[in-house]
Amino acid sequence: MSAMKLPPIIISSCHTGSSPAPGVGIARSIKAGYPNSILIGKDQSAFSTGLHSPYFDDVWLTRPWGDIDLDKHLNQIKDRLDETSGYFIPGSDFEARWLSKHNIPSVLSPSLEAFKATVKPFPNVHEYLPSKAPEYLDLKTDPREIYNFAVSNGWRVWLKGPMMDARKVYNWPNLLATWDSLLKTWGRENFFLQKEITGLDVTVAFSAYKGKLLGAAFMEKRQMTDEGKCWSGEVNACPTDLFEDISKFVEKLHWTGGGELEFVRDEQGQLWFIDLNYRFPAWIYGATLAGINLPGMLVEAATGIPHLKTEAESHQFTRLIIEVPVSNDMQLPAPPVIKSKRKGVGVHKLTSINPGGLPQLMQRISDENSKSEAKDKDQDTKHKKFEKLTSEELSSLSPIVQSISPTDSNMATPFRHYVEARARAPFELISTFAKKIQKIKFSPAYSIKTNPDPRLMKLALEYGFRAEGISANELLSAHKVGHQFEHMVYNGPVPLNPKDLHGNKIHVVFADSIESLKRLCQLRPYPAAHIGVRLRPFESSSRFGIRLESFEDYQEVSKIIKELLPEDVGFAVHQHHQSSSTGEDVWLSQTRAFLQQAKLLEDLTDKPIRIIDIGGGWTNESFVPFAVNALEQLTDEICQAFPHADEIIIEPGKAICEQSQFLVSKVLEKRGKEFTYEVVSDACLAELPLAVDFGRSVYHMNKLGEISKLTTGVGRILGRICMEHDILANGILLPEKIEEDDLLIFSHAGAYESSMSYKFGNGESHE
Amino acid sequence: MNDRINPEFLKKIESQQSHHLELQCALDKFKSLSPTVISSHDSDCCRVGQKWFSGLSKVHNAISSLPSPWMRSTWEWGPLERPIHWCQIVQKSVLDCGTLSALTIESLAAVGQKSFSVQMVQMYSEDMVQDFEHMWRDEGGGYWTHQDLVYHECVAVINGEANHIKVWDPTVETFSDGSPTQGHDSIVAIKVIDRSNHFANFGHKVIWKGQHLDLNVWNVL
Repeated sequence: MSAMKLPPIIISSCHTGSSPAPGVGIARSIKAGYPNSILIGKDQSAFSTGLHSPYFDDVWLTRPWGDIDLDKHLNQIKDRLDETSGYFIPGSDFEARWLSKHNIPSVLSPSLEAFKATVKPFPNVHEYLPSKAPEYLDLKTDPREIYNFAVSNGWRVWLKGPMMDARKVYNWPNLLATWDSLLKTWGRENFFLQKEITGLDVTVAFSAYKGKLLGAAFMEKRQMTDEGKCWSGEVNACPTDLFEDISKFVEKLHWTGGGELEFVRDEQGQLWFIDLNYRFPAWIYGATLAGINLPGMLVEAATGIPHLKTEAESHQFTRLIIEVPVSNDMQLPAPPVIKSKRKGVGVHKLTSINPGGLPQLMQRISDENSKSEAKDKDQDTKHKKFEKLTSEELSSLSPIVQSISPTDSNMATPFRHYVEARARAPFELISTFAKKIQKIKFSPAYSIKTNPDPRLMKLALEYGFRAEGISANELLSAHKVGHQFEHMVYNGPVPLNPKDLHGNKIHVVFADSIESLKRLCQLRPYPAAHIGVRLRPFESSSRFGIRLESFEDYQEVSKIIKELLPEDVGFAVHQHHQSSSTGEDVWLSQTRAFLQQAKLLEDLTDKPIRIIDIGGGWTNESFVPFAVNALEQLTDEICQAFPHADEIIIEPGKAICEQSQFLVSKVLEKRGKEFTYEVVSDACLAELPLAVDFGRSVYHMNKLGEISKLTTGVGRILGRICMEHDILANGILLPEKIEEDDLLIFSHAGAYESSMSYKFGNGESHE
Repeated sequence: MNDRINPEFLKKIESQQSHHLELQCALDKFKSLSPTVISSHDSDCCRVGQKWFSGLSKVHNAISSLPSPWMRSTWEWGPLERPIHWCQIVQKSVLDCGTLSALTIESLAAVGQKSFSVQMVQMYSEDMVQDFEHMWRDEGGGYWTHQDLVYHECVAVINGEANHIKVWDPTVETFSDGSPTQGHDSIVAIKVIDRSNHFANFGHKVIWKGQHLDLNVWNVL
């Protein structure tokens, strides 16, 4: 080793919680390469646990990021580096980002240009690396667009910020709650929703100096925390091809410092870019244990002093939790106090992120950027643009615009507005498809429960739909508008009583339970031309349908069908699970599993299946691509597997009618200021019972009749009733000029929003 | 010459030699063990059971492309008497590694995929092996164990290219390809069975984890 003395090195971000910062790992690696090095651990909180580690020779504790004077702190860093001719390795992306603007040569982190070129979701990653960026959507848009994006990806999506944090979200309420929580932590960041890629996590840590790649380590996670952070892993040299690509990447960006690239490798071997960190990862000492000391390489490149090379101790590492003495010079803060009876003792919780206030630093950087961007572009960045309406929306809304006037004080709101053209379109689509199918009778069925509006039921009749009901009363209401009993489908958990249908026989009835199946098979006269079983979605915990998984399940159902199902009654099978929850891919694989279950039942009973009812569950927007791209092939598969089948039934419920109605309401009061307005509407959950269950477009119409579509933000539309949960839209950006008596128009109010609406808060009783 | 050799190195060599001898003893002991085969009574009792299993395999295949990622939620792992018949399998709640492997081959065949029986020897601690022997005390005890080594059955599937294979372990429902290379849970010997001469064009060899394995004989790793 050279006789030259290594100057002191400041290493920041030293917290070690369940999502640790890299400071301690960087320090251990540098100590391994330079046993006599002087390392200073820097952080913003005495609760930053790693500051107490024995690998730091000294500690630099500063005020939290939210309170610190950034200019003064910058000078402190510069002074320290100048005084000692030392180096600084930032351990957080935000600190590195902040320092990058000041271009300090002894700060070993990427340049501002590198940050700017790689802003996440980094859609042009393919220009730098052999990978693709997963599909994403900026959240500053129409809520319905966000909802459709998540639905089209089967709710396998992540909510992410461009600098830090990523949370998996599962449904609309969860998305809104997660977004709200991230906003509270990180402030007004540009969040986006990104498709989840299924595959193996592939992580590469690297070290570069002035655009030259010094080394890279390839890590496979073997054990993870609940937050998805690595706990154990295997580290090997980076594969040559990838090393060369990363080499070009750091060269193009003239990268200095540590870095981490996170990918997912899918089943086809394609690499998908997931994340880029502008510093060494927290597991960096795991690479040093594997003989790849990346911080050592960086220090060597910067100082010219060779680091001590060490042999690989093991290519696998694991973390463990140990107790260390707290430094006497930096004792723990005072014990917690009882703040209030409600909140209890204010325990100092171990935070997963840095306790020194990195979110505040992020907000301050973000604010600075916003200010400079506003100055540059000479525009107000506080208020985002409202979405322009598409021509389809304009034509859908024009009947409303023509028929109502916001200045009409006699107009009674809220009310539902039915748009004939929007109602008719999906009936037309599926009816055209059904006529095209030659191999088998293809029958769309109208789900009465979704909306028993006679106008929709008449459209169903006009387009040749069967009527599908879950109660005798539903079937009777369909009969009133002209549907024939012998064409009807009966489903649901209520056992069918033929007396309620005045002895009329229907087309097919499905049993939701073993008990129901036995009863239906024994009814005389027969209740339907076909008796079938609704099968529970395979390996699901649904309350609906007959479970058909174990040998005993099959034996029991087969026995009833073989012994009790009359010879002259057709056998049918049915499934239902929501494509809007699972996405089309999972819906299709579940449907194929259902078909195999049915096939096995057919084999075990020797009773040919005549009708296959594949259910529904699409949104209006997801149904069209399904019908166009997947339905024909699925039909072919069914015909091939069930040569004796006469008919396929499909039951698109909300896909057919949710778009057919808008709910028009009036603004009663405007509250708040700047961009955090909220309004009280004269509608409530009684008119929009599923308001928070899925995303919808909301339009604002002012007194001049001008309409704009609202995008997401931090405002709310509150309902008119005294219920805490009566919030019609959460996370919406309301226009500054919104006024009392303006109109708010809610889309997708034509399915369950209509059929499940109820009387509340207007003095009417339910008898 | 010996005094010039590092004693640690000598110790390592001696240890390796000792392990090798033990492995040879284990392989001699396991010589009589052949991959599990599921028997059939040639009557409806077994035909229905087999039909149900094949049908259920197709159901699962619609959801997952892995060889048999569902069997352990149907059957626990443990001792089982031999021979085993289809009509017994559908009534059982516990199956051993050989039966789980035989079922995996049956399951893959039901969806048109070729697979191969794999026998292997794995290393555990002697204490763990004693536990296994205790579990199997009513089914012949330690006929599948020798000191810290145990006999195990898995399934090989073709991995993309011609004679490249992956080894699926239905007992733990994962591929064995990433398993430890030494010590606890490591595979120390492997035998891939190809009775149909599927790999005849490849010199009766398959490639697993970059290694060329001779078929139908034990390969010491």
